[in-house]
Amino acid sequence: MPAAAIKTLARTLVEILAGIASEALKTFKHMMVGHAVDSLQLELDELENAFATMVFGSLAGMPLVPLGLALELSPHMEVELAKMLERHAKYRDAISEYAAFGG
Amino acid sequence: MGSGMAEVLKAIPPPDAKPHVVMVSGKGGVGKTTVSIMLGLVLAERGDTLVESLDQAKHLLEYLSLSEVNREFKVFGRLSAMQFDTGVGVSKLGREYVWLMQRIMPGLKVLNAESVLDMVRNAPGLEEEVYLREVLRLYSYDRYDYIVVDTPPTGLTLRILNLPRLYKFWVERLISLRERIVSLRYVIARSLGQGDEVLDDPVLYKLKEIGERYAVLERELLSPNRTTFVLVSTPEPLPVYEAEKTTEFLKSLGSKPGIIVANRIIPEDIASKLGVREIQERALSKLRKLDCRRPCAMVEIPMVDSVPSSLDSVKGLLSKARIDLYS
Ligand SMILES: Nc1ncnc2c1ncn2[C@@H]1O[C@H](COP(=O)(O)OP(=O)(O)OP(=O)(O)O)[C@@H](O)[C@H]1O
Ligand SMILES: [Mg+2]
Repeated sequence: MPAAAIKTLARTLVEILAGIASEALKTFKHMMVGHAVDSLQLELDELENAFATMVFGSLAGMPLVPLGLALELSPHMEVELAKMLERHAKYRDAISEYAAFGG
Repeated sequence: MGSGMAEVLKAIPPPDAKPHVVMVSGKGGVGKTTVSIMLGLVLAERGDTLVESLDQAKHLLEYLSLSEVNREFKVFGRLSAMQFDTGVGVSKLGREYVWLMQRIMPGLKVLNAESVLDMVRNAPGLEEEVYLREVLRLYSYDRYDYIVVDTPPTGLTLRILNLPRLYKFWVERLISLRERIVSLRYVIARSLGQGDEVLDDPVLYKLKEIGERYAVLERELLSPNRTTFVLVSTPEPLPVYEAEKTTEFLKSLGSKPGIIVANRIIPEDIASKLGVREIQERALSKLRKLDCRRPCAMVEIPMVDSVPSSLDSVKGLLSKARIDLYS
């Protein structure tokens, strides 16, 4: 194999390796960022849930937030309300029982 | 002791913004509606005046022969009157409430309309909200210089007056939690290379708007230039006790009554014969001692034989009222 060809091959190999390394690094970075975002997301979910529970708690037997406040915010919080309901599926049954009491 | 109800104007500062709201409260049956009309007549000498009754008993309708609720009628000179009915407000707010409840409890859809409506009517806080919205409306209703509000039963009135403070408490907390949520969303969006639309949070805007609205209302309720509280009582132990409780409550809000009205005072000789003179005197002296803002008007109205039941009979009562001004 001529020296020139070897040089070219070597350069290509180095480039390939560098490419792999940089990809790996990117992936690694991504993983790190992803990990950080995941934990932030977890915290965000907690806060959103706390917020929705505070706003709509008066409808679930925690009569603290004035009713009008919940009503005014509700059109802007449909997604969060839905999320809260998923989490609170368990005591939704309890609330349904409470509603049956009136009906 | 001056005479003539007009003296009472000295206890009502000229409004710095329209309207000045005069809140008349007191135990059931002591003469709130009667006194509201009396004050309305006096204020109408000074400016355009509306007497609005929030009382469910709707005595104002018969009193002034109004043919409809929720409509203003010219009564006399610059005086108008309206009987507020919660019906419209309750069903409007009720619809929002049902909508929300159906989202929260899908099972609700199967209940019949009747029981849903029933639940809404009894929903905690719904009535207060309807009244609160009406009070808010009145403070910005600048067609009148004065609006005299004949309030619902004391317990309900105090809950309504307390609502702006409750709103403030919750809005402050919700805003600080929401700001954390929005900044977290922002950090997450940035890490993922997304734009910063998340900073435009409608919930945060709404919270700030609501907070501002009730902060303004609270200031108006507490401002002597915008609001005068009138406590009406008969010279009997229970109504006086309620007037004392209301004064304490106003104090806790940071306010004081500006006018105290002792209504249906039995003339001394008759009170002696009936053996109630002492009870009456004790009640009157308690009313005179209530912590009142300055200048304060103490109004004393005698019991009359013919039960006042028309505008003319109220005019008759006006000339019998006696006023003491404390400054
Ligand atoms: N000074 C007075 N002398 C005699 N009767 C009076 C006097 N003031 C009011 N009344 C009568 O007492 C009754 C109750 O008065 P009014 O309706 O004004 O009280 P209210 O506090 O508004 O009652 P409610 O709590 O039911 O709304 C009425 O029949 C009224 O005509
Ligand atoms: Mg009345």
